[in-house]
Amino acid sequence: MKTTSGEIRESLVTEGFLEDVGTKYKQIYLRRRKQTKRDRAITVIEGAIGITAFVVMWYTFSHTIMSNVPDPIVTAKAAVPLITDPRFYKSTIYSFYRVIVSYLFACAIGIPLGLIMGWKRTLRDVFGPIVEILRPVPPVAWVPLAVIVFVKLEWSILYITFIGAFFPVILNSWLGAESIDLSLYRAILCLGASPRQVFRHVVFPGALPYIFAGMTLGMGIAWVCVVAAEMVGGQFGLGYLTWESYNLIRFPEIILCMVSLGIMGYACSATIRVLANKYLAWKKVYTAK
Amino acid sequence: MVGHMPKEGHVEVYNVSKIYDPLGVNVLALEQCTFEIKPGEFMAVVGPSGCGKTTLLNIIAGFDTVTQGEVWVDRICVASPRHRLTPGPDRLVVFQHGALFPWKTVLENVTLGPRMQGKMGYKEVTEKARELLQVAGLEAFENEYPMNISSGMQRRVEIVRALINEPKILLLDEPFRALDAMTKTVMHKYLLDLFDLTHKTVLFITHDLDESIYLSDRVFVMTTRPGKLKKWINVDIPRPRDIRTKVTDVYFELRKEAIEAVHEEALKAFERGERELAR
Repeated sequence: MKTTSGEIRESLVTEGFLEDVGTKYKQIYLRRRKQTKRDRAITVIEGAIGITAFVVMWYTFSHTIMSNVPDPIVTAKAAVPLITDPRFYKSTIYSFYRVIVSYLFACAIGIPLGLIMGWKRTLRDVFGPIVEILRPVPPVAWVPLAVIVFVKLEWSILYITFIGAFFPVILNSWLGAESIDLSLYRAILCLGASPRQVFRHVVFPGALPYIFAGMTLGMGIAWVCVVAAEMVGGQFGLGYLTWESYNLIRFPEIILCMVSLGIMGYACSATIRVLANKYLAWKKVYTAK
Repeated sequence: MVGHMPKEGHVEVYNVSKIYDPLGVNVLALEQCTFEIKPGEFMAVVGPSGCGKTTLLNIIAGFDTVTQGEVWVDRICVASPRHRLTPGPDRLVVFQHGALFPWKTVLENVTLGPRMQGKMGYKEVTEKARELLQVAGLEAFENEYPMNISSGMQRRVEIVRALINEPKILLLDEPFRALDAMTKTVMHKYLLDLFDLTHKTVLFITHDLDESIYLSDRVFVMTTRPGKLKKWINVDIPRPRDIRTKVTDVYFELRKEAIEAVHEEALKAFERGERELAR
């Protein structure tokens, strides 16, 4: 006797009354999974091809039109002692720490202030003009003033990096809060929200796509600024090391520092992108349509 | 059907006028509107576009100030020239273009109101929300984001989100405007059933005459700007109503009665629009 529904189903399938849908879909599913795996492998291979092509071009250029640029092999050989040098790691960590600290400060001040400016008219009227005037000043133009104001060099580097990250963050948060549909503000008030609840349930989540856009921009500019500031007056850091290598005519080291900067910058942006994908799941649905 | 007569949701609008002042040009949007919505009455407001229907709703909801006059809900003044704007959960609005929070799931959207007001515990709210969502046929979609469901469903979620707060009056601002004709008939039926079930006071803004007669107890036909009373139409069609109501003689009679008045105002609005464009 066949008792369970699974067994009955099985018998129906073998007798040809019922199509074996389960197995059919399973096969499709497995094929699809294989395909995605293969797609991913192809993506990796394509990326590797791109990088290889770049290195080959670099090699060719350094042996033809730009003969003063060290070729990849020379660079790699010269990089070996530096990679084992603790000074290189110290510099990398220093730059990273400077970027993170300044960046976190920029976000901690820029995001709430920007959101409130986009939300409440009075605050926008008060802070708007200051932000608009200070915004176009290039962060590097702050260097002399920062060095005078902050006696410690470390502080001025942090400050300049902060300035670089701050403006994209605050402007985008501001824009984000302003972009929210008026009826959403009205809807939440209808539901009996206090100002704090309006901020939490509408202003912040509604502006989040813009906030992440600002954070991505800010991160890029923070790395630009930290290198510029370190070149002018750092004691450690990748910018300082790059400049020192230039003065000591150690060209391969310059390239190694640049590669290191590229990797660090990429890692930081990638982290933000992962966070954005996680917290903007609703947006993904939205844009897919 | 006439089981209980609701005591809540008595709306009185006295002599309300509204003047907009953009760039020093005074625009009279509403002129001395006076009416009353009885508890548990479904009232529709019909008029050509730009006649001040939405302004009227915004004033009652507490989104906009009045220049003159007063609005009272259950003997509480909610709008007068010196009154601070006070939108709140006693007068809930369903918006023209939809105002679900796209970053919250269906269930989160629905439970947000009572949770913010701290009226009910989380478990209790969720239970009640599930119950209402089931009536709306949406129980399978509670974990979806609004952008993932159809526009008809979004509207139903919005109505559920309003109803869970037990408002005194439900203000519907052309809620079915963006829907296709077929979805619209389904939504009408849903709203009618819901009204028979809850007997909330409803103010329904629309530019669609058919819709207003089909759904409401009384239709307020508005003139073109400045918006004021053109004609009252009492809809004495018994409830529960359904799609067959639309082919009865009473319905046709009412339609005949209303259509001229509405058409006349639509023509005026159109001509004025042409004049303003030509200027």
